[in-house]
Amino acid sequence: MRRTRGRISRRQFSKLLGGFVLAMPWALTQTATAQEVQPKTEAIESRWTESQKREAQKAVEAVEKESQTIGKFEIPIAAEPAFLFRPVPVRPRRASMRAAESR
Amino acid sequence: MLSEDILFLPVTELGLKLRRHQLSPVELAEAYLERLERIGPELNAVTTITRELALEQARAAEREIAAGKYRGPLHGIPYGAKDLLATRGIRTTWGAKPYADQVFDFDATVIRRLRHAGAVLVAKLAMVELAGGGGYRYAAASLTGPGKNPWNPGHWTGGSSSGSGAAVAAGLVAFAIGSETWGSIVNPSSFCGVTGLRPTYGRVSRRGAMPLSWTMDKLGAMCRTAVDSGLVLAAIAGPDPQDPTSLPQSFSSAPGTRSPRRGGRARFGRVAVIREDFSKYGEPEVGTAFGEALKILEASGAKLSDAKLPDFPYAAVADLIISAEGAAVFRPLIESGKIYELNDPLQPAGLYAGLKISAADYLKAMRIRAQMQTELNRLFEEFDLLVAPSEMKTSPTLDADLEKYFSGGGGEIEAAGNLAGWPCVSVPMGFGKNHLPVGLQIVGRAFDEASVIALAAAYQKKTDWHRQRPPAIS
Repeated sequence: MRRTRGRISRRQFSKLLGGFVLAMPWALTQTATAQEVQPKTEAIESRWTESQKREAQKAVEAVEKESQTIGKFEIPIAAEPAFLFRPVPVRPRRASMRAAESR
Repeated sequence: MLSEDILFLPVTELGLKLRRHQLSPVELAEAYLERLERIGPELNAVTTITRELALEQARAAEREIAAGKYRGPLHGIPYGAKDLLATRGIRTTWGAKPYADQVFDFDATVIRRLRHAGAVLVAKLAMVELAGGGGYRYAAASLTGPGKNPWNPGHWTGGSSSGSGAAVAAGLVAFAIGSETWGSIVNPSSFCGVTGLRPTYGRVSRRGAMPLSWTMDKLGAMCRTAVDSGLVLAAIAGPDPQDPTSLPQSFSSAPGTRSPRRGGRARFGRVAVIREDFSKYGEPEVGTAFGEALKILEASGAKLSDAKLPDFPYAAVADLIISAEGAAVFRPLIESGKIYELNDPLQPAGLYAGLKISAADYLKAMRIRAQMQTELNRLFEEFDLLVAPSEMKTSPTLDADLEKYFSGGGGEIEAAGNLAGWPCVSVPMGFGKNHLPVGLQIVGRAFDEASVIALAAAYQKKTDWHRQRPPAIS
């Protein structure tokens, strides 16, 4: 079937509309799931009691203080972190092993 | 029934008796099991007693030793493992309510290696919940309740290897496995009056151990003597393809152990004394005991000189790294809200706060750590070992606010040693306030456990603090 650029037939339009209507609940569910998942910590925070909020606030402040101490500490610009990524060497499997596995 | 004296013998002597058929592995396991069942709950030291497995392993050891198939110094020796080590088919609680029914289908590498060495697992031992990852304010921060110190059950065992410390001190096991991220072997060893060995980072595989901080977690032995801790280390050390952080160096505990770095005998000629200011913080009784310990070290052949750690924000760096890594490990627990099932109010708050640390701050801490390691290692160009008090105070009461108790400064060597990955032994060095034990820590360069153990063993030859037993238990 030939298609005219920018125009669709009535049949195509109704198919598209039907598809959109069918997809709506799915699209809404996705949005709802995303809303639930993304700000999980916020959702948890909203369930906290007052004393839990106070404890968390104090702990966050303590971490911020440590971050400040660390931030102020001067080190050379080229200083690398204490861990380094290491590629892991992998031995190629011998043909006989591959053959044995495929059997 | 075996006499209590037997149950307080070091592994070296128990092993000799087992090898010479003067002692039966089954009888020995039965005696420790009876004691675990009777005294363990009183001290909140035990999570699970593995009676069935223990007797099965003890019977196997008995058969093998009788047949002349002696596996080595741990063959037939009953031990306990901190309950953060996976044990196939036996619950592994991590000391925390949200994991109270957790069961793994494999054994941690350390458990597997000890089984191969012929050791007998008699119990999974209590611990501070999640190894205290988020911080904790009270001794009650554990699934099994506050760890009670065998020297005075109104006082705390220390943590997070609380059950390991109590069980060794009370003669409930011949040795125990503990773990340390920042002080969790050294602290309970000091408070409970036992000998604890924190190995070099990467020396012992952590496969099957609860992660808290991938770059700082270590597993080690808690024993009656330094020599025992070397025997256990020899059994559990070595590379493990299933733990990418484990390093190729194995460890030999043979007498006159050679120091791998120097290619010679273990040496402890030049010892740096890291002095603490007891006038500002800590208990003067600990300072007095430390002074006495230094005299004994000198008499053992150590040449002592004072030294200072280079100036770094040790505590802030250690705390930030552990907080960030711990929050990453336990993020699902935090987000599920189950974090509030933990006993201590500080734990959920601390773990949650760890999520707020920026990647830039974490990396800055790790960059400072690298600089720190270089500077700290310079100390070992001049010295073979460093010594300091393990803790500046004796154990607090069970209801003490631990945040307040440990605030005030001092004890930087503990954070520095853990950040640098150095090995350390804590040995009993007498008693402080309320006749509670105090410890001496001996720290060595990376992979030089041999020298650390050698000086600790020399000290223990001249003292009997490690042979004393808690009166309340005996």
